[in-house]
Amino acid sequence: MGLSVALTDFAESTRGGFDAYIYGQNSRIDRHDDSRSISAPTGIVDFQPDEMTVRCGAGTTLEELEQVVGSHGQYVNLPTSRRSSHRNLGTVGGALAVGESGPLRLGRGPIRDALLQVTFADHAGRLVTAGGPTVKNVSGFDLCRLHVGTFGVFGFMGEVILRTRPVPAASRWYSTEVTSTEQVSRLSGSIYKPGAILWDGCTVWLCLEGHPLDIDDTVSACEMMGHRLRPSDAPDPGERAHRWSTTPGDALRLATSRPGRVLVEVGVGIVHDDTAPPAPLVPPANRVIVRRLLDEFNPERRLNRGFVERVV
Amino acid sequence: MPLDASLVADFVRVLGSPRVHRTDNDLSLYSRDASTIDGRAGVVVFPETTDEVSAIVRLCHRRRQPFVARGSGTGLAGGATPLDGAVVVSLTRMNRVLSVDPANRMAWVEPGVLNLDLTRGLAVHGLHFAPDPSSQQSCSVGGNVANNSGGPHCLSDGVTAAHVLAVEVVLPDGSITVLGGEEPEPRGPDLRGLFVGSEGMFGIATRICVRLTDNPPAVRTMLMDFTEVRDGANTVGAIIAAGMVPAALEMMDRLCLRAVEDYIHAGLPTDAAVALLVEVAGQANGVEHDARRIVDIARAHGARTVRVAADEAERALLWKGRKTAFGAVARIKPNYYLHDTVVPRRALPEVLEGVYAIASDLDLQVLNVFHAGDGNLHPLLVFDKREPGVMERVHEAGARIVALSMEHGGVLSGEHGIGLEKRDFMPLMFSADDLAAQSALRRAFDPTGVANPGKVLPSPSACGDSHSIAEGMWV
Repeated sequence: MGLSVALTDFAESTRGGFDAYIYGQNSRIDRHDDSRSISAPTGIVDFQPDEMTVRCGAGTTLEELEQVVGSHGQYVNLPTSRRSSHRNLGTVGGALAVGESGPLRLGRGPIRDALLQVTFADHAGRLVTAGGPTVKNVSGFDLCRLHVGTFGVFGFMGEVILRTRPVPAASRWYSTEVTSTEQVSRLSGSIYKPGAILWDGCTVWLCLEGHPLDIDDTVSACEMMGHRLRPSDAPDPGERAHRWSTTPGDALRLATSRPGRVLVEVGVGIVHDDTAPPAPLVPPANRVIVRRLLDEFNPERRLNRGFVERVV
Repeated sequence: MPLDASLVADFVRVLGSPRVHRTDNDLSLYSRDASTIDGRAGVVVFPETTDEVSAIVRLCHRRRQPFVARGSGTGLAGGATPLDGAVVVSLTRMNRVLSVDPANRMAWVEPGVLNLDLTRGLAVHGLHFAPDPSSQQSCSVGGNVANNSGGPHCLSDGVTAAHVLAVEVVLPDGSITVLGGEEPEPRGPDLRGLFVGSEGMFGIATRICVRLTDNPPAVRTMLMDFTEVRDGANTVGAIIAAGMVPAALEMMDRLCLRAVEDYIHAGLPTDAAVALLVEVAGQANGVEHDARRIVDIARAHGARTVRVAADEAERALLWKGRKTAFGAVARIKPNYYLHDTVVPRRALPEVLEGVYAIASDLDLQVLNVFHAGDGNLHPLLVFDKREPGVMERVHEAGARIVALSMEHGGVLSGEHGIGLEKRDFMPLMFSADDLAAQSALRRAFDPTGVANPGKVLPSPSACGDSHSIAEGMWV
């Protein structure tokens, strides 16, 4: 499939010596500087349900994406914005650029694995394609990885090909009281491929996905272990001001140290907390690699300049 | 260029002479991987710790001496083939499982741990390592990381990148770092994901944190056969279109079925045009439901017989047939060339017909055994290399198969990687700007280009660079 006019125009709009910023719908981050801001192409270009892939402009809204793939019983593993105060769900490019997986990461995997191919405008305004159009591909280096969670500082995503998956036959949330890490670990270990397990030190929220009768069987098995699961709404992690990452073991210890105030994703290590996170530790050698990547892909730091420090 | 004698002396100082091999026999053994491409090793070293790997790499880096990491040497694209007397760093002695955390479904292992050994060792916890290439009895986890390996069960579970949380790496300058982590979202770009599949060109993995997968409580394995290749291929697409993702969906054609049946005597349908090996795994009700639907779909597309494995022994036998297909072909001809491309599933019928036509046109025999569920083809050309002119026809067939796959919207490799084998085909898939970006990525990890040079990316000067054309490559 050749390059569209929209893509070539998009690349053209990034050329020049100016500082360029690319934004979606600002559902996830605040606008840093709205001079010379650029918008990515929008719209579904090609959807192949039986290939489990969808090609779309990076500016496509998640709402539109969900409507199109959902009509064929599929989903794309891109979480909507966790800022519950926003009325919009965000864009495809925004979700990828911020790179935060949703609370169903335990069962559905991380957002970074949803991206199969990206065509991006580089610092010189050239269109570069990374990855491939098929669900399996090891041709060359996986440059797609450079664009997830890096706020557009390595290039502006124009068009992507995403992996789709079938919507599970059923998806249900339950809750139960659990107050010790041993009980949480035992519960987690007893469930086959849980969709999500969230814990605040007092209550576990559990998402089970699959055949309805299998979910019923899992609920019964948990009861036999002494955990009565009650149907529940999913907890809203966005109620807490901060979201950060730690090891799964440390996440459990946090939940017990401040019961009721911290919500952790069990088996994953994402923490939702009103307290600001500790400063992340980045190995010095990794910082060197990232700076080299910036020198290669954003030598003048003119692409999303205000976000460069977020990735170093 | 001969290897610097003082460098070898330094290796001996670090490792001791028993772990530095330079005899003609040793160098010959390590001068190729499982591909058809011959290289030339300068020396082979056997470190046992991360610090030893770091010391070796520092010594190489100081002298700008190329090195290539090697696991079990099962790679099929020349990724571990040393060029021009490179230093071979064998990781086979780093083969310990360091820790297992069943509660958080992760484990730390050394790169030399064999794929299937890891899974067998995890069985006591009800867990396994999901990537299961056909070579899993002998391939290493470090090799799986370098190649981003797949296997039949990656259809539902994903390839190696989805099962690696962190990698301790000796970078090409000898420094040691950890990419990724047990935490899910380390700050900055996904350096772990960039490293996986980099074919040894970004450094050497010395410890790997793998994600572990629950063993399914229920499994249903079915073998169904068809009298027409197209019917089998269309069944694959229909299963996916029906919203199911089986644990595995494999196809074997008649020649493959006959070769395998002669070998394992499993009662395979040797008169069928193709057979599909389908496995559904998960919880009991979902497995039962999906298995019934799959059988209905297969029959609607002309499945002649459906055989459901009655027990674990029969399941193992059916899988043995699939996973030993490459070995079984020795009964047909003494040599084979196993290809690897991916095409959209809807193109499978046409591409398969095209592969048969190419083989017929070039008077070659071809077996097709492959991961139909994700469109990952493995045409297997069988031949006797002593036959005059056959190698030229084999390479011509390979080039045509690659071109055919690309014409149908496919990619160059689904599992084997680019290595040396397909390095010079990369411009079929990527533009000059795309390849320049991949070079830029590589430079960020390895500015001096000492880690496994000459692989993956075609050099702009390749036409005149006789040093990077190894014997057996397609040129």
